[in-house]
Amino acid sequence: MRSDNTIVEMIDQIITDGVRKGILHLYTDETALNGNVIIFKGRKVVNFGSCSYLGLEFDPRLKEAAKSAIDNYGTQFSESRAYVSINLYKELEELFCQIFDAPCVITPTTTLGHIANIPVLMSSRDAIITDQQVHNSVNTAVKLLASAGTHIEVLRHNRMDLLNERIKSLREKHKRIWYLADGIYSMFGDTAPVDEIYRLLDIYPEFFFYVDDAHGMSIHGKNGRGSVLDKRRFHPKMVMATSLAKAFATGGAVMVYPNKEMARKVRTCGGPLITSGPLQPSQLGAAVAAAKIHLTTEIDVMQEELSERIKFTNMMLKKYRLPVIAENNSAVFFIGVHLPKVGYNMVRRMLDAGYYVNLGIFPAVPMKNTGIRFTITRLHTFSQIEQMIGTMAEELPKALKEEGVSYEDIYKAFKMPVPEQDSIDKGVASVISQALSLKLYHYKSIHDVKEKEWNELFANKGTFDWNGLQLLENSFQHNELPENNWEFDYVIIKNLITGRPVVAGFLTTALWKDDMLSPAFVSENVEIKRSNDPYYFTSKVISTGSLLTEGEHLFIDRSSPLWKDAMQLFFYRVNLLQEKYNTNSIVLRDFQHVDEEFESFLIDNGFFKTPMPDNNIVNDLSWNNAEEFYHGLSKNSKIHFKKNIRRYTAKYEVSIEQDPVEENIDRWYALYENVKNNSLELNTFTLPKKLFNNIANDPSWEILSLKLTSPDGNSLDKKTVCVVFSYIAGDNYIPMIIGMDYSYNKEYKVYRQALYQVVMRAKMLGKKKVHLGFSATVEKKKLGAIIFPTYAFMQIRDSYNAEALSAISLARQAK
Amino acid sequence: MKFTRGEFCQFNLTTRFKLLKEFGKNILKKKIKMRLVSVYRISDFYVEVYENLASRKLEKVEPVKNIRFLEVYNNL
Repeated sequence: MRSDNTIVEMIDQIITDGVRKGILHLYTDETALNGNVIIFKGRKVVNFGSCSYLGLEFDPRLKEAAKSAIDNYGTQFSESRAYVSINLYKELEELFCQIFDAPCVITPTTTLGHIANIPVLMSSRDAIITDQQVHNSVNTAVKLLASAGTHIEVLRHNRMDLLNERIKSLREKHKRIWYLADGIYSMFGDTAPVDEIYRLLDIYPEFFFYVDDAHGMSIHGKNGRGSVLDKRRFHPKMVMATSLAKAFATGGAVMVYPNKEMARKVRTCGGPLITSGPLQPSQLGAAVAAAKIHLTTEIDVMQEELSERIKFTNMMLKKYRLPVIAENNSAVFFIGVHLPKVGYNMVRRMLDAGYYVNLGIFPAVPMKNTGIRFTITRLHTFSQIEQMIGTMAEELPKALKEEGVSYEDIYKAFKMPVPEQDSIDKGVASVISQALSLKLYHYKSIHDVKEKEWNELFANKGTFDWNGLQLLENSFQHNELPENNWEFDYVIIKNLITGRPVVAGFLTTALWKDDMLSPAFVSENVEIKRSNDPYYFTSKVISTGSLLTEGEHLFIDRSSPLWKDAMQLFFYRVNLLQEKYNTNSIVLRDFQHVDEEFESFLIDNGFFKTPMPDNNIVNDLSWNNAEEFYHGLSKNSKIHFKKNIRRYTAKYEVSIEQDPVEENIDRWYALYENVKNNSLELNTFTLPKKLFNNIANDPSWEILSLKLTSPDGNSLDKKTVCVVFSYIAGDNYIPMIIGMDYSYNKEYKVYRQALYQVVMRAKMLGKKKVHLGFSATVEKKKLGAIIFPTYAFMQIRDSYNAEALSAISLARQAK
Repeated sequence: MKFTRGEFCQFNLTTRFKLLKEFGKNILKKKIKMRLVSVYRISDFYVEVYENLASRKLEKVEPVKNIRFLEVYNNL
């Protein structure tokens, strides 16, 4: 359901929400900084968000060198480095060659370094494998290569077994295979398994390693050369990028190469080294001073001081039993809090208590893996660290209680075992329900739900009234193939005082193709692999509604003051079901009117909004006959209608099928399979034939067929060229499945005729609306359909498949 | 702030001394020849510190097993 634009939309929703809550896009008050205390809105807070891990930014030698460089060279030397650079650059590059004992090139930022490196070092004959959690700046540069046709794929985070397999598979077709990773990952602070990567570099001559060690620079290794090179040689098939804007405490970045030729080529051909501006003299001056410190034993003392603080922090985190996501030796720590709403709550609480910590939220981490990210620097005192962690331990239970989340939820979201002492607080939902007189009813079959009660809520909403669900249950259970066996769950949450439902809906759990809503070319690519592995890129999904229903699946009484509490109970139950069925995603779908309050509520609870295909509904059937219908169309639609529909109408015999014998059902099913196999726009599994048998024998459904007639009025070969399976519910006519013989479509415009005949049939039955469903919007609009933008809210546990599909899409679009 | 002795001893001398300064309570300070000897109480144990006054270096920052050792300093 995601494209690049929807990702931008998602980021916008979440970040804007954080800005609105006053915890993102902050500015400090003070005009001068001299330590780790900053001021926000008049309140002093200890900064636990700085990446200047060694606190060198306040070292008088760096400050003096920056000032002196300005005195000597001015505030900027504004010439491209392709022409001329000030001699501080030369001095600095020489110092870095000593630090790394390898050729180096300095770039204005690490991002620009990647943009200089990657298109120069990697070619269309290479294959690129990016780690799932590699820094976004690396991916930004990789996107530039997509247009060259370079093979790009994503590897599950740190999975060296899979990397080994992929190298074996790709080495036949590609000149080189590059694995792109971080030395220390910026969110959880965990590290790349460098020893294992080096082992693979030694085994496979085609295998190369590109690593961004921004968070390892200065704090690890001899002369502060970073975590990757800590007690390791520089591998001859490795390229390293590292930042000077973190522990090095200046600005810019250093690219390190295994040989002079590689460095020369990037220095000569790397885009930003030709066209981007250089580092400012002040930055170069400070960097020279910092590099000189790195070349003395003083850096060892600083590293040791930081290392002791990191050790102390790990000890305190254990003592206070906080849910730490990865225990490691880096200066980055991540405390899981599960949902964004708990993250916002905690950051606010920590600010109020005098500590600034970062919110680790989407897109940096999946929505349900929100957390508090904090960093430790050499400037922190031990008591600051202890007090901050103590405060966090005191505030977290309060925030969890306030937001209706338990410790158990956190550990489950991060797929971590729940410590015995923390498996408490399971009763959050029962506390809410008792306190607020809400009661949740959960059923496994529509037969257990009172027909009248269900239909009062859903009779006019789509194909999921009581009868419609009975048919779905009969069709999607006890089948041979896993994709045709769905779990059904019905949830009704009632206000016990009024006796009225506040939230109600049904959920199905089924196997979905992950590329269901990807562009057709992506599905084409994936389907090739599915010929050998039918369940490649498929995941279990729990969703409101089902793959065969459309419409407002979730009833929410927004006039009730308890609707948000009822929704919390609903989420709680859905989360339990997610655990029970082990699904990767939760999808709440088919929302047409989403206001700011509702959207913000769902984001706080870990969902992101994503557009679904537009829904098309003909909701004006007030005309009396075909001629009046025609006159109601727009000018262009009239032209289309005359040319593509009316001209062929007489050639068709339209009837409602009354004879559901096996032979006919086989033919209709074959027509459906034609459509299924012809369209990858909405790529689903093939529906089971049992469904068609059930539909054919269900009085709530009807089958409209189109047969082509010869000029003498006889049916052409007595062949049905199209069938439409429609559900009739209240005032609605809902065509759900179509089958077609494409060999006649071009000549007789079968699809267009079918749409028209469906509208006519609805009118004949006295219906008020025709739900034409998703896709083919242009065709449907020409028949008077109104387009209703439709949205889903999703939670994804593991976004690996979505990222891998996105990589396929990117590569194809670039071509 | 509760440390065990074992946890305390995981740190180097400089850090141990900083931890004592930040979390401990100084209960004794005596100059003995060229050394400054201090005793701190932290959590539920005592720590003996030797600072060499000539070199300004920490020579010892070790928890002591028995508080009866304090008597030794009282007699000095």
